Amino acid sequence: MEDALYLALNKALQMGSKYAEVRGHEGSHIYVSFENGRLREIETSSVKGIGVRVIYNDTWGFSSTSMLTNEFITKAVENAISIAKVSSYRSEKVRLREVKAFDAKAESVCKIDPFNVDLSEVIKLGIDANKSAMISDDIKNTLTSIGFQKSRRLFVSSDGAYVETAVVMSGLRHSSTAKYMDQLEVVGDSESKCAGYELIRSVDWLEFTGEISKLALLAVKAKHPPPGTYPVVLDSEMVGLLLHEAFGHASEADLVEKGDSVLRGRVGEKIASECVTIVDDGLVKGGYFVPFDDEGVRKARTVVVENGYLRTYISSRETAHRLNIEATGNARAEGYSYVPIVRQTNYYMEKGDYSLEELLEGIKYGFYVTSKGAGGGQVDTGIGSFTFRAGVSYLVENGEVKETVRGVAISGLILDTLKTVDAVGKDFKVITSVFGGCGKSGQTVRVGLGGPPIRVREMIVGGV
Amino acid sequence: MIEEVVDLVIKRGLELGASEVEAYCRVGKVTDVNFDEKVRFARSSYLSGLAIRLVYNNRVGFYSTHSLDKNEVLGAVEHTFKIAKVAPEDPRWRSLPKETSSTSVIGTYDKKTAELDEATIIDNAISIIQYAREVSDKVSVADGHFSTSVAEVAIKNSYGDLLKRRATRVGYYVSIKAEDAGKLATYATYDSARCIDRLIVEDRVKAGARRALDFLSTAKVEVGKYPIVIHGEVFSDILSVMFGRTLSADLIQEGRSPYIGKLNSEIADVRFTLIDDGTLEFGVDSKEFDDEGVRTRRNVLIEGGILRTYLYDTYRAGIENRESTGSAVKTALSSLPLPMPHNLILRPGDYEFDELLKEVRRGIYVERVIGEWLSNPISGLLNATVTHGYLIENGELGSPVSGFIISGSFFELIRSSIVGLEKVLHRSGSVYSPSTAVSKLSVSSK
Repeated sequence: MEDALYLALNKALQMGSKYAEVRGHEGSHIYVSFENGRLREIETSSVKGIGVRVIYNDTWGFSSTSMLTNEFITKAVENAISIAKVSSYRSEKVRLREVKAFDAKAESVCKIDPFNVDLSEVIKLGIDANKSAMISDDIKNTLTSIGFQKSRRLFVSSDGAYVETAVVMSGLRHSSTAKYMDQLEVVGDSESKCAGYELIRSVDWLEFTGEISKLALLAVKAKHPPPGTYPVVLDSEMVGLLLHEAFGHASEADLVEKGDSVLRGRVGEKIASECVTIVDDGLVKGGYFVPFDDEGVRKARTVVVENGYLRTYISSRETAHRLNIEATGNARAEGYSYVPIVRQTNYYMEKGDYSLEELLEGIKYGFYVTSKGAGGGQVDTGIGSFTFRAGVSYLVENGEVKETVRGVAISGLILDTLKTVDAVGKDFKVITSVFGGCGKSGQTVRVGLGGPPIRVREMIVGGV
Repeated sequence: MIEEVVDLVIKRGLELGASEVEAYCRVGKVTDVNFDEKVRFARSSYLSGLAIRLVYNNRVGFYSTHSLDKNEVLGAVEHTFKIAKVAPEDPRWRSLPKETSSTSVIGTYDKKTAELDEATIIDNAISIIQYAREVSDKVSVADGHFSTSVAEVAIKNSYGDLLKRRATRVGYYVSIKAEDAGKLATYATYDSARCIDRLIVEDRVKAGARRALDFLSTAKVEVGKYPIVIHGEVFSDILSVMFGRTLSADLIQEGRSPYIGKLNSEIADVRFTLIDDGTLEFGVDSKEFDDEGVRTRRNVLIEGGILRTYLYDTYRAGIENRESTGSAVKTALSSLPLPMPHNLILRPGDYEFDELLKEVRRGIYVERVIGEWLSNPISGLLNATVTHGYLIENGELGSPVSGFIISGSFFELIRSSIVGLEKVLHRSGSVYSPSTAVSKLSVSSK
C-alpha cells in the first residue's frame, strides 16, 4: 500500500501539482445478524484503495482507484489533474492553513483481534443473546447484530507528512418488537467500542437483550406525550445527539464560511448558558479513535464552546485559512474514494455537578428522555432548526418519574436551545457505534457523542 | 472485463465444492462537483466492486470487495467458501434463482449522459449558481453538489446465463440562501434523473430562490390539531419511511411489520393505490432485473385501499413456496439483497393544488421538513419537523411558518384522514406521490 501511495504522490508532483496528498485505506467488516432465534445472515466485506487529491492551477482535483497497479494509479493521478484543470477557471483559489507535517503511527487498543476469533463462537453467542430476548409471547421479533470493523488509513503529502492510523471496533446491537392488542413497538440498544473481541467477552449480552425486551413490553403499552414545549432532562446519549445535531453541524467551518450556518460571525458571542462547555476531541474514552484527520492534521482537543461562549469552529486546512482560525484536525472522508470534508469526531459536553435526581427535582411537569430506542437526528443549519427522535422516555411530575411515554420527537432552534440548559450532571459517558455514523454530503463517518445528563428548560416535544 | 470476473468466480466456487455460486460485479465512473458561489472541488473516480454469494450444503457465505484484480477475486471466492463452511445450515434455504432473466426498460441508460465531459458537468453546476442569482441580489448559493454516474452491472449464478445492465444517473442538490437586513433564510432544492435532458434545473432553482426570500420572515404556529396539505415530495419521503420495508416479506415472516396478516384487508382509503414498478420508464430506480437476476415487474401493493401483495426475493418466496416478485435489492455492494420496492408510486387523485387548499380552507401547507425519516414505520407514528410551510387561510397560502413538529398516526392518516390527492405526481428519490391533504395532524411548537 505504501508503495502505491508514494507512486501516486511522485507522479502528481511530476505532472505539475503544486500540492498533492494521497490517502490509502484498507479495511474489513464482519456483520452477523440473528433473528427470532436463528442466524439471519453473515456479511463480510473488504475495501482497499487510494485517493489522490491535488492542487493544480490553485484548484482542487480528486480521483481514486481500487486497482493498485502502475497503470490505474497513473490514470487516477491524471484524472485528478484533469478535473482540476477543467474546473480551475470557475474555482476559488485554494489556500491551505500551514500545519505541522507529522511522521506518526497510532492504533487503537485491541487485545483480541475479532477477525481471528472463530466465527462459530460469534454465531453461538449471537443465537444465545437473541434467544435470551424471547421472554414473552408478546415479543414478536428479536433482531441482534454483532459487528466488527478493522481499518487502516495511511496519508502522505508533498509537505512530507506520513501518518498511519489503525482502528479496530466491535459491537452488538439488539432490538425487540413487542405487541399489545393491535399495537406494535420496537425498542433497541447497542454497545460498541474501539476495542477488540475483549469487549464482546466482557458484557453479559443475555441480560442486555433481555432488558431490551422488558422495556419493549413496557413501551408498547405507553402513551404518546401531549404536544408542546416542556422542560426536559436528557440522558448522556441524548445529550450527545442533541449536541451533534443542534450544534455540531452548525460549528463545521465549511458550513460557516459558506454562510449556511446560524453560527457564522458569532465567535466570542454567548450562544449557550454558562454551564455549557462543548468539546470536539479525537481521543476520548468511549469515542471513535481519531488521532489524526484525513489531511494528516493532529486532532487535538478543540473547545468549541466555553462556559457558554463560542470560541471557534471545527475546520479543515482550507476552511481554517478562509476563516483565519487554526486547523483543528476535522477533515474526514468516509473512505479512499471520497474527498475529505469538515466532520465532527467525538462531540461532547463537559460534566457538571448535578446528580440525576437533582436534575429531575427541577422539573414540575416535563420529561426524562432516554436513548433506548432512539433513532438519530437531522439539522437544517441555515434555518437553524434541528430534530431528533428519542427513545423510551418518562413523564416527570414534581421531580418524580411517573409514567412511560413513547414516540418522543424533539425539536428546537440551534441558537435558543443551549441557552436554556440550566443544570449539567456529573456522570459522563461518550459512545460510538460500529453499526452506523453521521451522514453529510453523501458520506458517512464514524463519530462519538455524549456528555453528562442535562436539564433543558424548553424543548419542543412532538406528540399526538 | 466484468464478464470474465463473474465467470472466474463461478468457476472457482464450484471447483472448491460449492453447490451454488452467485457473482455480482459492477464497474462505473462518478464525476461530481461541490460548489457554493464558485466551484470548491471536483472528483472524477472510477469505481469497481464484486459481491459473492456461495452456498455449501445449505450454508450461505457472503463477501464483497472493491478489487477486481484476478488474485484478489480468487482470494475473495476462497474467503466466501470459508464463511459458508462455518455458517450453520439454513433449513429454509431453497436455492439461488434458477431462472434468471431480464425485461426491457426504457430510459435506464443515456449515451449523452454517459459521455458528458468534465467541462460540461462543471458548467451545469455553474448554471445553478447563475439561476439563483438571476432571481435577486439578496440570494446566493450556500452549498451545492452536482453529480453524474455511469455504471455497468453483471450478475450470474451457477444456474443461468450472464445478465448485464447499464445505468446512468445525474442529479444535483443546492441550498440557496437569502440575506436581508441581518436576517438569513435558506431553502434546499434538488432533482435527479436518468438522463441530463430530463433534469429540471432552471425552474426549480429559481423557485427555490424565491422561496428562500419568502422565509426571511416567518409567523408563529400555535400548538393544536390542524388539517395539513403535504407537498408531494414530502409525502414521498413519508411513504418511503412507512412503506420502504414494511411490505417486505422478511419483515412479514419475522414478525416486525404492522401489515402481518392483512393481505386482502382494507388498510387505507379507497383512493389510496400504491404500486412498486421496477420497469417504470425513466424511473430513478428502474432496472431490467433485480439484484439477484430476476426480472423486475410492476407489483400492485395496495389497490383502492386493499393490501394486495408483499414483496419477495427468491429466499423469502421459497419459504412460502411462491415466486419472487423481482424485488431483491442490494442497498450497498457490501449488503446481501433484501426484498424492497424499486420505484414506489402513489396513484394521483383528482385535485388541482389550489383546490386542495380551498378544500382545507384553514390549516397548514407543509413544503419542506427534516427528520421525517425518524418516523416509526412499525408503530406507525409519523413525526417531522417543518422547516418550510405556509399557513392556509381562507383556502389560500398565507404567511410562511417554520420550526414546529407535525405528528400523528400514519395508519389513521391513510385510512381515514385523507381529504384529497393532487392530480400531479412529484418525486423524492425513487418515490412518486401527489401532494396530499389530510384532515388532522398534531402540531407541537414553542
